[in-house]
Amino acid sequence: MPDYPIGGYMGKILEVDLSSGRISSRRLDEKIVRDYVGGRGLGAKLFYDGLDPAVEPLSKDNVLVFATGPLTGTKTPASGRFTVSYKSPLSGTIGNSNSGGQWGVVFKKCGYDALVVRGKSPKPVYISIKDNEVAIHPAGVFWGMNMHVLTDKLIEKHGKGFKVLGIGQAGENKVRFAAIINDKHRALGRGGPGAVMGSKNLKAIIVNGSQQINIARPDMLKQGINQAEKMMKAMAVTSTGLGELGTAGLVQLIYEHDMLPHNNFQDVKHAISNVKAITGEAIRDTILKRKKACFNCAISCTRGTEVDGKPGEGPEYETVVMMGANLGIYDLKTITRANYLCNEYGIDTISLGGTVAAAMELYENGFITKKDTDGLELKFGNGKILLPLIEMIALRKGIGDKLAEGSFRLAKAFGHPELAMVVKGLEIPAYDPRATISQTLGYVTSNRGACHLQGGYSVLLGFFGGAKEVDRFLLTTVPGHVAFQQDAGAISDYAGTCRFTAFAFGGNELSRIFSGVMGIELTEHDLETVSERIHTLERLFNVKAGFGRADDSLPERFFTETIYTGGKDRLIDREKHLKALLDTYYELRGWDENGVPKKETLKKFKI
Amino acid sequence: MPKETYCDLFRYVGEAALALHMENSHSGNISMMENLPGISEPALYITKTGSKLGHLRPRDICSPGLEKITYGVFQASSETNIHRGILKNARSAMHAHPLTATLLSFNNDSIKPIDKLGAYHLGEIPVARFEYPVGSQEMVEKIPPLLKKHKAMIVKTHGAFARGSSIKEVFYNLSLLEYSARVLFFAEILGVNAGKIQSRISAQLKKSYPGIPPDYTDRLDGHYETDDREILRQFEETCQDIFYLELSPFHTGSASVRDGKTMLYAPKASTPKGLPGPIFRIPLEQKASGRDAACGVSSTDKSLEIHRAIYANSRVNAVIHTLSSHAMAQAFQAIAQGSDRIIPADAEGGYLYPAIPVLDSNPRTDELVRQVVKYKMAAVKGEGIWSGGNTLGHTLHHPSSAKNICYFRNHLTMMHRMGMGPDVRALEDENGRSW
Ligand code: SF4
Repeated sequence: MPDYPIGGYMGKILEVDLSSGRISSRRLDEKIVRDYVGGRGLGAKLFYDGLDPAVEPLSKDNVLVFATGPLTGTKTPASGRFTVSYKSPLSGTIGNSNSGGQWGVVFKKCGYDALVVRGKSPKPVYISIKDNEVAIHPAGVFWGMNMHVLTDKLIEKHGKGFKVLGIGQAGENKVRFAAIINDKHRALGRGGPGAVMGSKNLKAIIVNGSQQINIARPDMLKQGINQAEKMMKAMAVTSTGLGELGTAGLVQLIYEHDMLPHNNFQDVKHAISNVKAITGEAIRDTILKRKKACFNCAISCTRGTEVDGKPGEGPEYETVVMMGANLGIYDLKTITRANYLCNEYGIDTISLGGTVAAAMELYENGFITKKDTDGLELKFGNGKILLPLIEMIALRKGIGDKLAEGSFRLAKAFGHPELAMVVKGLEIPAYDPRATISQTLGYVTSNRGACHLQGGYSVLLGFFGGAKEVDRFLLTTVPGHVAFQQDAGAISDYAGTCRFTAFAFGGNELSRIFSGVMGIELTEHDLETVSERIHTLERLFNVKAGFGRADDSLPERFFTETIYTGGKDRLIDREKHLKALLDTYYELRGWDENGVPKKETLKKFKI
Repeated sequence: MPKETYCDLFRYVGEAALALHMENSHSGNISMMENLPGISEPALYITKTGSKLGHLRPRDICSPGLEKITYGVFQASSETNIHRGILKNARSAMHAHPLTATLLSFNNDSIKPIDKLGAYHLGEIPVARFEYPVGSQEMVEKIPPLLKKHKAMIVKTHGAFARGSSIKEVFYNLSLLEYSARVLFFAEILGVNAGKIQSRISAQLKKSYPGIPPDYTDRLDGHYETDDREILRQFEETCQDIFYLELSPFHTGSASVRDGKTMLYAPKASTPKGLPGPIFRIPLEQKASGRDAACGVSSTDKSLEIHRAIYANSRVNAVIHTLSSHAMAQAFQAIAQGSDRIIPADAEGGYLYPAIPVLDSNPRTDELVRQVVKYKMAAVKGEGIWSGGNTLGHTLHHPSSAKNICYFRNHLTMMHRMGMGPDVRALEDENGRSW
């Protein structure tokens, strides 16, 4: 049992400096725990304290912070999550990404709450952690391997008890939206953490831990878990929906709400027969082999699939839409193969889809020609080019080298930055902002750029809110709802639990679980305050990195081109929607009119 | 069925359930299945989780798949799997929280109605105990088999589930359940030996006895055999008042107006907004004619016969039959105590009706008619209040007053038991005893 006064923590931070090869550990500051708890919060704090916001993301000075939460690895449902924080090479904002699987739990059981990786190794290396034994190994033989081969090889070498996290060729080649992959199929995807790892010449981190996690008040934890589990069993979406259909079960629902992007967000029109070919139902009825789950998760939303004899995982909703419908591609096998390939090369499927969509629109408008593409017909609907293009991106071959820079840099390079569907350089996920005003506000105020989850996942409010439903076109009161949703969602990110549990239970149950694990009384309000603090700190980092109000915006398309949704033609009105909502949102957050956190706000949150 | 039609049905039933206090603002759920052309598996429609039954919109109804789960499951009610099980043997199901029925479930393992309609239609209602009585797997496993046998069941300390061949029939069953529970609850408070009545009524039901109420049907709802908009308005207004004043459970009772040698007859007198019953034009002379059967009136139903008999023996132009739970409890008490009347304790009631005559169940029609004609209305133990008047509006005043009169008497008795006031008999007007 760890010698630490707060339950749920191992009490130590592991630090590895790849430039010097120095490995050290230090005690986790209790004050940080109380203010930032863990996961995304702990990551943000350690990252903020240790990094100059002006740093070049792909330089040796960027930092990677892997952090678990106090609930990670406990009996709390779906508590296998951990976060990595970094400065994003895609957006230049603070980056953080969250993943499930088993790696986070096993890392924590090595006796650490976080791992901070600094510097740059002169040669490819990987880190092994077996309980308290930490070592840096040469990774020359592994360099160039994809994540599947790498995982098998490392386990073969070190033994079955190890869990592998690493990068494929995309990370090595510093593709700006390269993901870190753990447990072969789970991705720390958004914002390019794989590229940061690649820039450090760090191929993998393998872990094998056996230590116990200290629970301060088991009875209270049990109460909280009982209540949470009851609610998960009672809610159709957590008891049946996600397990039966995976997240792609949302495809038809989102389509019916005229929100499913098409051809780089040009419209939301699709033939229903096409849509039906890529739904969660279609996955279940054709390629699904078995449902899979992350650590201690009864929801089991993960799809264990097989295409043409090749097994893999996925696709999820975002992948199906961003690498399918938004490219005019409705062939499930092609999308799934593309998904497998992204997992192998280590690529974020949302940004990849968004970047390919931008390339296709550039191509269809004649801004990119066949000369640029080595003969590839980058037309919407042309599924044949998807797999070769992914390889070209991962290996930075031909036009792939340009696409590897992400849609914003790509579109700008060809003279049409307006065709990049990004916020702060991060590709917009699979919900058209014109079809949900609340999601728009979420996209523009998410600290890592356009993110449905860190934007508060307002789609959830609009469709699954139940008693808490907020109409997706409502203007009044929306800033408050979005801020609340962002904060409520962040609780999972710093707890170490999966956001999908929020379909069934929330802060109320979590506060009991937190208190049971940590032995510190934490009310729902306390938890929300931690979230607010984290959101403000992340914003502060972005402000120092040069972001301001002008960056809290959408691509021009959404202000000038209408889509038919919610019974009429709609777009985002710059004044009436964006300006008005931002004004109120900033006010609620305690930020000034430029979106800079005010002094008193920093004081309030002890930043 | 077009989407608008079933969405309207959900909405109207949801509003009606809220009006009867069967739901809190966000509780309960309604489902139905429908065979769609060209698709082998029927569609399942169910209210969204957290939706407000009193304000349902089309987007609050989702389709999560009956056998094979579909995307609608992301929004579906947490009780969807229970509905799926129930719908293996029914077309529609509803979960609601009828207050009195739920209250009785705290201390009973079943509810045995003592009123005729409840006893005949619902029979004994099982109460099932669950370790976790909200949306649990145990409920998914145990409720559907219970509802194969019974039209409704109660989850102990939680609420009721009911099934039926249509949403309306399900709501009828729930509404009837709450009515029967209320009659039982107040009758027992008034000291009526419910056990004795329950065994007698179940013995009676084993035989065929006169006056068996007809089976529920919504086949001809909204069918009107008159195009006189004013009389239709009067029917609508009266029938809605009967429902919202809780003078009779949903789609029960009957109302008619005399029109020459015919009457316009509504076999459902309690109809909330959007859920009307039919109105037939029926000859006053013909008894149990083929026309009656064509109108969906069962040959065993005594109601039509009583409407005709009242018109044949009086000058009244409107007749209403309702089932007020408060009045029924009083009628049970009166008969149990050998009394033939209910005497108002309240001033308004006493001023209008010195006494309401009470008859034992299965009365002779001529005797019932005589009492109605003489006293404007009469209560029949376990069978309702019959009243006659000049217009529908005028006639409605009688059962509506009876409900209040009996409400006061029931609650005054409760208060007396708790030492909070005198015996209700001390408050009765002398005049009522000799009226
Ligand atoms: S819900 Fe899905 S993503 Fe979340 S922990 Fe469970 S299996 Fe993993």
